Amino acid sequence: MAGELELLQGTLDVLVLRTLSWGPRHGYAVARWIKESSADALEVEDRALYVALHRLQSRGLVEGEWGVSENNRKAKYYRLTSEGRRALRRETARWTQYAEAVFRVLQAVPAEGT
Amino acid sequence: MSDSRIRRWLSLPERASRMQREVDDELAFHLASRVAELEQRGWSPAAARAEAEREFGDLAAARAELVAVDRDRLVRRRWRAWGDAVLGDLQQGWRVMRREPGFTLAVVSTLAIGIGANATMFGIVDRLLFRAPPHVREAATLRHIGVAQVWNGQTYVGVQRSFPEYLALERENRSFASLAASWRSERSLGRGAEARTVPVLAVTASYFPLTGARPVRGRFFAADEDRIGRGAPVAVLSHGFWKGAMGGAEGVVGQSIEIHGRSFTVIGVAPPAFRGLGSEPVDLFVPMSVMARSAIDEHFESTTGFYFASMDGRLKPGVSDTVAAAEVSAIVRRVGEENAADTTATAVLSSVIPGRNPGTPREYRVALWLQGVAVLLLVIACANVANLILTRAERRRREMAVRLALGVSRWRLTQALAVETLMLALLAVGAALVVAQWGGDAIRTLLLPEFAAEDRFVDARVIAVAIVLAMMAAAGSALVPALRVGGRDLTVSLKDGARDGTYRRSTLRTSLVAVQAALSMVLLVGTALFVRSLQLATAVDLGFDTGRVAYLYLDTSPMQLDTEGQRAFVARALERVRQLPGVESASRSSAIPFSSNRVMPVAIAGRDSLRPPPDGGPYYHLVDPSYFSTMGVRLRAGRLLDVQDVAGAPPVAVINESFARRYFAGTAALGQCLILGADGPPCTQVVGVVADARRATIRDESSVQYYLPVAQGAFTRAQSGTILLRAHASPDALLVPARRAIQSLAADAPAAHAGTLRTLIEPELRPWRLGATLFTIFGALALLVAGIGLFGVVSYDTAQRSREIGLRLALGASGRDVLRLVLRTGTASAALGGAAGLGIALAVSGSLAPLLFHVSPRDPRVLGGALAVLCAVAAVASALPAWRATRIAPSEALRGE
Repeated sequence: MAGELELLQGTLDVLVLRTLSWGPRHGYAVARWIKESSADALEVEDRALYVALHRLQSRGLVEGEWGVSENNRKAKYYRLTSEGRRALRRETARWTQYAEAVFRVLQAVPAEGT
Repeated sequence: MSDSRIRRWLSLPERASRMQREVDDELAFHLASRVAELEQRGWSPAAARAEAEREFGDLAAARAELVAVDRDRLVRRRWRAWGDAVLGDLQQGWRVMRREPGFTLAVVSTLAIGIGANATMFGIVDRLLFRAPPHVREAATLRHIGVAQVWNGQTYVGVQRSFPEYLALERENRSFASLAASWRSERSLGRGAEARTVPVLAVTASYFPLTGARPVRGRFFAADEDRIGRGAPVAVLSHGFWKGAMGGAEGVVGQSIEIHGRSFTVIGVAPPAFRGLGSEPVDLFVPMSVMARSAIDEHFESTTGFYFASMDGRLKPGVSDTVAAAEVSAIVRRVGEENAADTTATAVLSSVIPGRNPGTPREYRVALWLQGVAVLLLVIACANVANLILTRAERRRREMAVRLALGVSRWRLTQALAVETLMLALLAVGAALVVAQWGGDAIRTLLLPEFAAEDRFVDARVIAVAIVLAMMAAAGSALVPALRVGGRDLTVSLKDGARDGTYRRSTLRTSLVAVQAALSMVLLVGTALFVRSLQLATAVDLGFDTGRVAYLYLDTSPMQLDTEGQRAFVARALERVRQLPGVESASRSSAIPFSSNRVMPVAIAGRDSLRPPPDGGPYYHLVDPSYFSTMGVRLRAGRLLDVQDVAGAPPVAVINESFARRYFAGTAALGQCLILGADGPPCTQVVGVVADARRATIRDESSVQYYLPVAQGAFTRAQSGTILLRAHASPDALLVPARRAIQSLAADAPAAHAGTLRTLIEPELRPWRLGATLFTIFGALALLVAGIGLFGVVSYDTAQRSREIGLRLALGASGRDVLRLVLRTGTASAALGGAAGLGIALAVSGSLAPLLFHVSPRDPRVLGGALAVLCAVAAVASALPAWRATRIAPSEALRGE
């Protein structure tokens, strides 16, 4: 369980950064986007998502700003900083490499005679 | 910093609650959005709410976690912002310093003078007064034990007591956890021609444990090595002696050295700079039982009349000084009673840290004054630096105005200025510490020689004080200009160039100059008072010559001669040194000058009893006829002693003028009969009267004294072991040959003490020499700094007024008029300050009076002289700018920029 959560943490950061790369969003919108775009496959606890957002803010990768939502309510919007954009590129590359490597291993078939 | 900013800085709860509110708002928005969405899909409000909260997870935990993350972020951001600001200020400061090297040099050197003077004096005063001797542990509970007694209506505190007293105290006291006795004396090291004297501290075995010091080699004394009657001849070396005389040899433990005619085995080495509980240097430590036995008496432990033991003790926890002193007094009185001695004795306990005791020696008080003087010097330096910064601020006026206009807060700007000044001050600390190391060592060697110095002068305490002073100096000198920056009207500075034609005298700057002048005046008065004191003290007619006389003293006790043998040895020694080249005359004497205190009962034939003189006596000297010409004591009436005054001839005496005045006032002294001693001759005839000579200090002017021939003095207990030499020229060159000459008279001769009268008097002059030297240095520096400050201000003023002066010249004013104008502005502020300083000096100098010698602190010549010097310096400082002002070309000045 602990191992899964840790993996989830790092993964969640990339997902959040990716979600914000199309423009500023509030926390609820981020949660909904991740849920919908993964076709509900990724069940993310909202609490973990908000901790991730605040941590990213603390690391200077995203910036928080109060604004007004679609239904006219006060909401906190998050926006990628340029450092956040760089981090997203870096993490995406690493993730792709990692996923490809795992995928290759899973696809590989032992040669005859070994 | 504004009020709300301070609140934000300091009040964490307020900040935390704001962050909590934000987190709450954010979470509330999330839940409300989710509930709304679910309701749209047809969920009941209650079910939607429950589902939203379930999806979210532990709400309370999330809230706490988010607040913690945010708070952490805020704190880090604040530190980073502050760090960036300081870094920026440092870079800016560095750029400014490099851009204006002249300014940097001026500020750094001015501050270095002020801080250096303070660090030096602090190092001295701290060591003299506020520190325990090196390696002494828990000094707060250690006490020197002295005994006050009343003699002739005066109270004397004896710090050396007899050994029976010490033993009684050790046996009977219940106030001290431990007690120790010590005895410092100069002893002969080696024998024969090569012997020399070294300071030796004889100590009881309890002494080292009392101090808490640990040996760096070997060990200290064991109890059975200091057993009375059976002490072991073992010695502990001081660290300095080990490194110096023994070359720091590793195998030193077990070697033997010869002290006072006896061989001692080295058993240990004391830690560096350790000198026991006193302040004077020590080369060797030996057991009390051994040294006292051979140098005082076989039964020194029961000899009541010999006062030599310094006593120290560590108070038991909870025992007050009053209780301990009462107990010691009772014991000392009881011992006194048993021996039919004084029974009015009162114990006086004093701290081993001199500054904690009420009565401090004159040198120490002078040093404290000098510390105050150094502070004044620093204030003068700060005023100068403030002036320099002000002048620069004028140059940077537009830069500051631009920065203010761009929205930099005044607080930030002030902080930037403070950082710049602080950087300069820290540079100054570096320079100041170099000054202090050098100056401190110079003072210790030249002015306070017996103040043992084996440690590094600039240590952690001195550095800390220098840094604190630098901070204060930076704050002090940046404050004034910063206030100006803070209060300036922006538009005025932006509107025009630096010179907008309207001239406004800077009152701030003028008052800084006046303050400098006032403080300089105070220093000048102090300098003059001390220099005058030293002059007068040096010029005091002591009643004998100091310039050409040397003394030699040889303690024959290690040679184990009988009385006749001693007499013969000294007579041979006298003959030997008389023949040395460079010796004009020589005489035996019963005592080294300035330390004679021999008395015996005196009566005058036909009179009842004599009123004792106020400072004791009459004191006698046992001398050869050549004594008077050797010492330069002048004959006033009758004749001097001569070679016919030998044993068998009629006994004669020569008295001094004070003797004649006190006992023979109005009658002829010559021919009178003195009855001397208990078993002296029935009539010793007064044959001559000589001028008064100082006996023990240069302050005792009318000491009652008389002189008897050595050849007739067999009835006295005095020995004539001292030889006085009069040199043809300087006596210093005679010391070594004379010492060697008499040491080589016998193979077992111990080292002789040799010195000049000048070195005997020097300690007497030391407070004034110390005061005069350092007051002069500090006073000169203050004048220099203040003079440069005045020069700067007058130059600046003149530059600012160049249009006005140009106009005056164009309208027909002569160069002389301009010269007078500028000189007047320059000297006026100095004179004003000088007058104020005179007032301060008059108010303060009264408390300086006890430290002076025959000078009134209100001596009009001193005060007038100081004022004249100040005005002269002011005139010189204004002269150059004034001369430059006369060279202003009217056309140039009027054209402006």
